[in-house]
Amino acid sequence: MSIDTQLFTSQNLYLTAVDAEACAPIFARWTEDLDFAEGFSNLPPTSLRVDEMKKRLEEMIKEAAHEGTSYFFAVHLKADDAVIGYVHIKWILWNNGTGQLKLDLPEGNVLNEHGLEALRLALQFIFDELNLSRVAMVFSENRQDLRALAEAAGMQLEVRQRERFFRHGRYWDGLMYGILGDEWLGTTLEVHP
Amino acid sequence: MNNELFRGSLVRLAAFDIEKDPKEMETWSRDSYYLRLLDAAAGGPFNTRMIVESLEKHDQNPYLFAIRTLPDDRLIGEIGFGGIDWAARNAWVGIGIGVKEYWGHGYGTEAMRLMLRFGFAELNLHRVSLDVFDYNARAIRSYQKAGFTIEGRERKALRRSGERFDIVYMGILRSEWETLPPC
Repeated sequence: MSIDTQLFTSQNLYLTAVDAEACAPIFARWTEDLDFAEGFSNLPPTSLRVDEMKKRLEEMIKEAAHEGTSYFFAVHLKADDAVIGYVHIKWILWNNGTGQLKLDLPEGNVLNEHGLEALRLALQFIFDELNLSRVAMVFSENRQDLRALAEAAGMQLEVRQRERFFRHGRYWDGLMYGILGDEWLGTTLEVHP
Repeated sequence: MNNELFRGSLVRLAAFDIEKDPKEMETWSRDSYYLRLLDAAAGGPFNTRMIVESLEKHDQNPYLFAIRTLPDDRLIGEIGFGGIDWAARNAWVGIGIGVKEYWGHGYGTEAMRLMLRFGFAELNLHRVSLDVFDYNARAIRSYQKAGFTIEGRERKALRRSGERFDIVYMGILRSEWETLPPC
């Protein structure tokens, strides 16, 4: 890690600011997947119209720009510039140096292929640029893909809220995975541009 | 009228008196130690007008109650459900006893038991969640007495006066609440 290390570009991916107009149809389509919808917002998960999604994205962009307690990026594939997911760092408490990370790459097998690379970019930004001292991901245990990702990035299971979520006709535990800055530095997973 | 649902032996849960209560609550918010028990965000005193405005939003947060002593009806704290997930039937609960003389005498524990009864017997919740700071041992004991179990720790999530502290997560399931003696 040095001062010229690229924070928004890795081997196969790059992060951009979210363009509400261009992203709304893509994100709206993704909300047909309730796994995506559940993680994406705190509102009750349901599928959104394109104009509703555009408004939601505009609110998230505005909040990130003006309140200074969140950062919101689109994840692109270098190969064809397609938007394949998002990274949202939210609920930042600067007094504590903490925040929560939401990340999803909802299409097909994209999360399994590129999720770890996207998560490493997010963690590098969180620890090397935002200088947070810890970050957490919270999701329902039915998201085994996110669980595998969090563990692969060196995050630790800190909280298991029993029967916290209800999906697919049954209860699932809510999981919180956390990582501290010094644990992240210990992983030396530098992302290669 | 049957208001037994909201009454225990030490306290009752009640609506706020928007004329009288904000003045008392303003004094609580000048106590930084109290604020540091309530909130992970950086604290600051509230004035009466801010408290009135927040109480006026009751329609957005209908399950917020004043905690009043029996029989003298003194306002000593507040308790509320928030962030309800109606699919999973999970609610987050928050409580504060602003008048310190009432700490450690069972008033908060009884208020929490009344709130759980309301949540499980009337709102049909499946579980109730809370988080609490690890330097608040009194609260953790009170929540355990009310039936909550520790479910994990968000490590070093607070930084106060140069020291780091964990946030402790606790929860109670309806099936666990049903085995407790009635309040």
